[in-house]
Amino acid sequence: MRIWDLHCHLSGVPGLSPEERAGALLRIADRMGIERLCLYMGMRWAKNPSPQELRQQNDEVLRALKAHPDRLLGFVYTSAEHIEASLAELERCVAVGPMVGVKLWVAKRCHDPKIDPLIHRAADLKALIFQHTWIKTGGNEPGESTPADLVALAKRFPAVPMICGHSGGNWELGLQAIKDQPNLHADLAGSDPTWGITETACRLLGPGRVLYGSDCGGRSFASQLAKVHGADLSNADKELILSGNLRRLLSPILRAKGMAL
Amino acid sequence: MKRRTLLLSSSAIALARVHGEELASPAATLVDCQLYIGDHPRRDLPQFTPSSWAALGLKQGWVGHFGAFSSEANHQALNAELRQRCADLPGSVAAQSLDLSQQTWRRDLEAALAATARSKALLRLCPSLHGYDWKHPALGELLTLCSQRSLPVQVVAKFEDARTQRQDRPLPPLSLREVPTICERLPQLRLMLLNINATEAQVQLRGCRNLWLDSAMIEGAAGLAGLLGHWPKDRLCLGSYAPFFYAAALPLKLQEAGLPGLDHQALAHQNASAFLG
Repeated sequence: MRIWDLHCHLSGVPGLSPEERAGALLRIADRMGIERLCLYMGMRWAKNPSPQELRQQNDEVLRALKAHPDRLLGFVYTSAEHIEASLAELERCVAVGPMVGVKLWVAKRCHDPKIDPLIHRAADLKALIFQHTWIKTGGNEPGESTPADLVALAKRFPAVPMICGHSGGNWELGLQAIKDQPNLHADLAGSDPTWGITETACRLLGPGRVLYGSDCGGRSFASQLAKVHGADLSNADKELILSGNLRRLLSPILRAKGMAL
Repeated sequence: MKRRTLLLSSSAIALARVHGEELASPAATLVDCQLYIGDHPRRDLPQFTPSSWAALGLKQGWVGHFGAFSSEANHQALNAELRQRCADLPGSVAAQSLDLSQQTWRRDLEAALAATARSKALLRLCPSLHGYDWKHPALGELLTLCSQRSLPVQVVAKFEDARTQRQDRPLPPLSLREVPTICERLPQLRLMLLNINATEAQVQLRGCRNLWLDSAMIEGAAGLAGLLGHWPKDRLCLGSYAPFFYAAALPLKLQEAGLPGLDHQALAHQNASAFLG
């Protein structure tokens, strides 16, 4: 089965430079049979990055992409706290540069319509939108989106596919929250490999809306791949989750950029 | 909800053929130090059956009972059921439970030991779920006894990510602060902490020489290999925490670690065998 990993980072990986870290990540990915990795955010994270920090983190990802253009796919790190700067990064990294998606983290909750210009432009560029979400038992960060926040955003852009990062973390709640919003897709990454996440995602959303991701280097590829390999699903469904769905979602922009599918 | 049967055969096949590569003979070479049967207090989980055990291809698995998570469990009855269920699982070792906050724990311990071949006796404790910690006199007494009688003890340090627990039914973690002192006081004790993460191992448990860990909550890219840069190579074992976690993670973590042959074998089964004695 082909495996494309939706959710990887340069943090938590050994190496002093983006190129070294990307190389280390790929060596480990090779052991697990992972063909391509989507990469976002830099070597040191900031929860509410300044425009300069956004640019620096995207520069680091660009360096990694340059070193491994055949294996890595970049998502530009943006922030709804800095719309103009984020639009500029979108132009620099996606419209002009090689990146193919947009990453939104925890600077500002995504239900706020202030984010809309960013989504409009990302959709124009066919860039795949990834929004981190969690429903933390102890409470979210102030700017941290929930799956319900993402549903509010997705309703304003029903034709734009978006990914619900971590399936809300507390996936029993998160998957329920997004199931009726057909342009939302579930990212399996970044939570413990608790039995049932993948089966539940497929039951509620259908296997065509579920994507494998690891959240490496914070997580292991193994624990996250186990959510798919260990699930009580058909091989056809597993193929969709491991790469088919992501390849389908990325195909418009990869084709537009002349990149291999 | 109706119980489902754990179907591991497809995952085992998939694991053996990831990207056309064969795993390093995962079948019948691995020891899983943390498995469970019975009903989980919060989730409806699949049950291990002899066929699913065979499909996973474990050489040995140490099986506890989810019923032991309850503060109201009758551990003598629970352990009797566990031993019976383990008799149907070739290669299984019953990880019998005690609740040291119950007055009956000494009686339950004697019953557990009397019914178990000495070479396979193993205890698994859940102090934080039963309302006590390392300072509880009964735990000190039990650990001293285990040290004197070379009885291996597993202690579950945590049960679930705090961010995903139900607010009305929390599963509290166990403090690790006293562990180095206990390890120093009882150098012959064979103690294994379950569900420790890499940061806890490197920071709070650093220097604990007679302490084993399992792999269930060791994360990070090639996380097991990373931990072995800071933790003794003969003190880390494989544990899946299945069926609460997908069992498939166990061989995949070993594959991801990319360890050289001797380290691979140590982690796969030798360290576990040494712990069990």
